Formats: sequence, C-alpha cells, structure tokens
Amino acid sequence: MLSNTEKELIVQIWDTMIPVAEDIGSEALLRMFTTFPKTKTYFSHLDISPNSDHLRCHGKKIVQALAEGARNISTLATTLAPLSRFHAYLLRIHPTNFKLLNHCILVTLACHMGDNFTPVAHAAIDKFLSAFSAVLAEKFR
Amino acid sequence: MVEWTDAERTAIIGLWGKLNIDEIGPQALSRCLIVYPWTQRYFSTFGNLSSPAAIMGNAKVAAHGRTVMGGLERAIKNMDNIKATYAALSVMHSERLHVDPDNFKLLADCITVCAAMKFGPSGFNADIQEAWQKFLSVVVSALGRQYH
Repeated sequence: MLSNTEKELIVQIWDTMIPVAEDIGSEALLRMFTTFPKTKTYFSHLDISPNSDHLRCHGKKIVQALAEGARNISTLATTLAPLSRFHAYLLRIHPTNFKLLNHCILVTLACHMGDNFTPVAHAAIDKFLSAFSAVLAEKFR
Repeated sequence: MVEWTDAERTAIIGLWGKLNIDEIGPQALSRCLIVYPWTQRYFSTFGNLSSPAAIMGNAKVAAHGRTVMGGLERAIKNMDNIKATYAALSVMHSERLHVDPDNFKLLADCITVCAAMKFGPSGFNADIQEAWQKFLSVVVSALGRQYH
C-alpha cells in the first residue's frame, strides 16, 4: 500500500536515477552476481564482467523500466504487461531471484544517496520494488 | 564449519573496524521497525513507535540497537565458531522472546543498508558486500538454530 507522499518520493528518486541509469543498473547487477552467485546462471549468454558493455546495457534497461513503472504506479499491471509476459514465458526466472535483485538495488541506492536514503525513502522504494516484482511474476502460473 | 577466505576475513574485520556501533545499531534497528513495521510486535514495551520520527527518537530503540551490535561483536570475535557462540542467544530468542527467525534477516538487511549509506559505492563495493552478507547470513543462521 503506497501513500501519495510515497508515490511522489518514488518518482523523485527514480527521476534522479535516469541520467545515471547505466551506472546504477550495472552496479546493482554486479552486486547481485557477486553476493548471490546463483543469479549468474541466467546470464550465461552475456559478458557480465565488471563494466562490460552487456552489463551496462542490461543495467540501463532495468533502471529505465523501473523509472517507467514509478511514473505509472497506479497502472503497473498494464504498463508492465509486455515485461510480465517476457519474464513468465521466455525468461522463466525462479521467483525468489526478484528479491535478490531488489535488495541489491536498495544497497546501490543507499551507497549513492547516503543520508538521503532515509528510512521513509527506503520503505517506499522497497514497497515499490515488491509491487513491481509481483507484477513481473504474475503470469508465472 | 564455515570457510572464510582471507579476503573475506579482511573485508569483514576491516568493515567492522570502521563502524561506529553506537551509531549504526540505533540506525539499523529503527530502520527495521520503520521499513518492516510488523517487527514492532516484539517491542510493545518500548513506548512510542507510532511514527518514523517517534521510532528514530525512541531511547529504548536506540539502547536496544546498541545491544544488538554488542551481540554482533561477539560473532566478529568468534568468526570460526559463531554457531556455538550464539547457542544460548538462539535459545533465548526462541523460548523467551518468541521471535520469528525470518525477522533476523530483515534486521541484517537494514544493517547492510546502513553500512552502504555510510561507506558509499567504493567503501562498500560488491566484494565487501558479499563478504559482509555472508557473515550476517551465518549470524542469522546461528540465531535461528535452536528453534524446535
């Protein structure tokens, strides 16, 4: 359940991430691959070494999708329908992995935002990421 | 037995040495109570927890945050035997405090976020995060071990 204040805070935060989407996205992914090595099993077709083009490109896509979702929080299911189908029928990622990436996104934001990553901001983003993942996993079965 | 690489030991002890436990303990516990409000169920005697501001200003929360970090210090000093070091603590959390062990992970994640905020992307890089989270997962596992 997101309050209007939280929705505004979420848009504000993701808007600041758009210009650095490649940096933030690739860092979150690298943190996830390093802390939870099993997540690498989904990327055997890419070069996910630190700072690789694939890592930066993929990281950028993720941050841009999150920013898009942030701007359309009330209509997440419709906005994310194509991504939802993609994750369900093509990628078929084990659903527990969404939490692992979400956690690493939070850690990345904490690193870059420092004291601005207040408990209230942390709670709002965590709730947003959970809602976003729930939509991505909706069509799994 | 948990195997720590030299790099992991160095990272964990190094990070611990730079933490101000009187600062991060209160920060992490109050963050946990705010981000995961159901954890407040274990703190009904702590007084006013009705808002983020109340939680962050609550002296009992701060004191307890420091207590938790004291517990973590014991794990740091006994990294090769965390399970045995925490046996009594685990029994206490299970039989006296009745804490759902799934909540330990939430507090651990909040400690991680506070460390990330303090040290930034190079002070808390991916390798340090990996080592730190491995340490915390051993702690969490040891705390949950005596639940029957």
